[in-house]
Amino acid sequence: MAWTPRNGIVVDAGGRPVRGALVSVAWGTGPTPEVAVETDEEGRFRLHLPEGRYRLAAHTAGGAAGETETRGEAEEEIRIRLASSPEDA
Amino acid sequence: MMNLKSVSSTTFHGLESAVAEAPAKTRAGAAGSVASSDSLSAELLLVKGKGDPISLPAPIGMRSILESIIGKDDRTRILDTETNPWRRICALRISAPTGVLVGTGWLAGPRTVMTAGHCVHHPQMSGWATSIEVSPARNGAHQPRVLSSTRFSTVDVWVNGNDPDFDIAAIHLDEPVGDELGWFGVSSMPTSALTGFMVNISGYPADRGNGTEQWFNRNRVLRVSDRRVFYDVDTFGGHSGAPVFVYEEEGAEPRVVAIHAYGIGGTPSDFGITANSGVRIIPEVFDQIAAWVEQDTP
Repeated sequence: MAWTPRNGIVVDAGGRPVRGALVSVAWGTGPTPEVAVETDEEGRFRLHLPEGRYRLAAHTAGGAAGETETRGEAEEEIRIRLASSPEDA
Repeated sequence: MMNLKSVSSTTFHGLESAVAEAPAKTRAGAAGSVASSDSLSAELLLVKGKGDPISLPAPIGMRSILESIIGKDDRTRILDTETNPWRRICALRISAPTGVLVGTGWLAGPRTVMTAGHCVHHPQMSGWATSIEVSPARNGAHQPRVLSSTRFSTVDVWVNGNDPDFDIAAIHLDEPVGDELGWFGVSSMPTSALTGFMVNISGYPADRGNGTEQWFNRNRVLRVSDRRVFYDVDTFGGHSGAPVFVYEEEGAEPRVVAIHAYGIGGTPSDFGITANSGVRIIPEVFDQIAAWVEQDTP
C-alpha cells in the first residue's frame, strides 16, 4: 500500500498553533490505522494517508475540536482550526 | 497458505500457518493476584453470547461526523478501570522518530501486551516505534501503573506490505505486571461459531479525554472474513489495538477474538456494511500470540 506523508497544523479559533492536540482520521475511503497523532510544540503533525478521501478531526484535552477534509494523495499542508480556543493552548 | 514470521525490533522467529476454519483453540486468561472488587461497569455494560444487533439510529437531522462512530454515539466511559476486565486494557503513548501517537493495548500474559501492528511499526513512524509507555487501567490523570518498553514484535507480512489482515503486534515488558492485574484469554473460533457473537471493545480514544480515558462500546459481529472480524461497535482514533472480546456464556471468562485496528474505511465497499474491524484471531495468529507470551517467560 502506498502512503503519502502529509504535514499539517492545528490552530485555535484565533489562529494560534495548538500543542498536544490529537489528530485522527474520523472518516475515510481507505484503511487508515485508528491511532491518533499528537501535535508538537508548534502545533504541527505528520500523518501518512493512502489514496482516497478523508475527514480529519483534532481534539484537545480541554474539549476543543475541529475538522477538515482532504485527499490522501494531495500535497498541500493540512490545516485544522479548532471551533473554540482550548484551555490548554 | 502463508507462513507468518515474527519480526522483532530485536530478533526473528518462524511459524507454521494454519487455515482459518480449523477447530477452536483457547488460551485461558487470568484474574491477577491483586484483588478486584466486582465491577459495576462490567455488570451493567458487557454483552455475552450471541444476540441481535443493538440498533441506535442517529438523531433525525444530525449527521455523525465521526463515522467510525456508527449511528448514535453510545460509547460509555469506564470509571472503575482498576477492576476486571478493564484493568487488563492499557493506554499506549507511542514515541517514534516522527513524534507521539496514542493507541490501546491489552495484557495477553504476564509480560506481553498485544496491540495493532501499526502501533509498533508503520511508515507513519518511519519504521519502528522507539519506546512505548504502557499504562494499564489508566483513568484520566490517574495512572495506577506506568511501564516503558523498547522491545516490540510484529509479523513480516505487516512490515513488508502493511496488509490490514496482518496488523498485529506485541509489546514486551520487563515487569510481570500481568501477574498482578491479570490477562485476557484468547480464542480462535471457526467462522460459523464466531458469526453472531456480541463483542465488547474498550480502549483509549482521542476524542474523549485525549487518549487518557477508557471508553467502551458493544454490538454484534456483522461479518467474518478469513482474517478479519467486522462489527457495528463505535470506535475512534486511539482505539487501535483494543481487545475485541466475547463471553461465550454467562459466567465465562472474557476471551479476545480480534484485535481492533480500523474504522469504516477498512471495510471493503463490496461488503455492503458500515462496520469497523479488527484482525481475527485464527490459529496462526493464536499460535503467534502464544509464542510471544512464551518468549517473554523467563
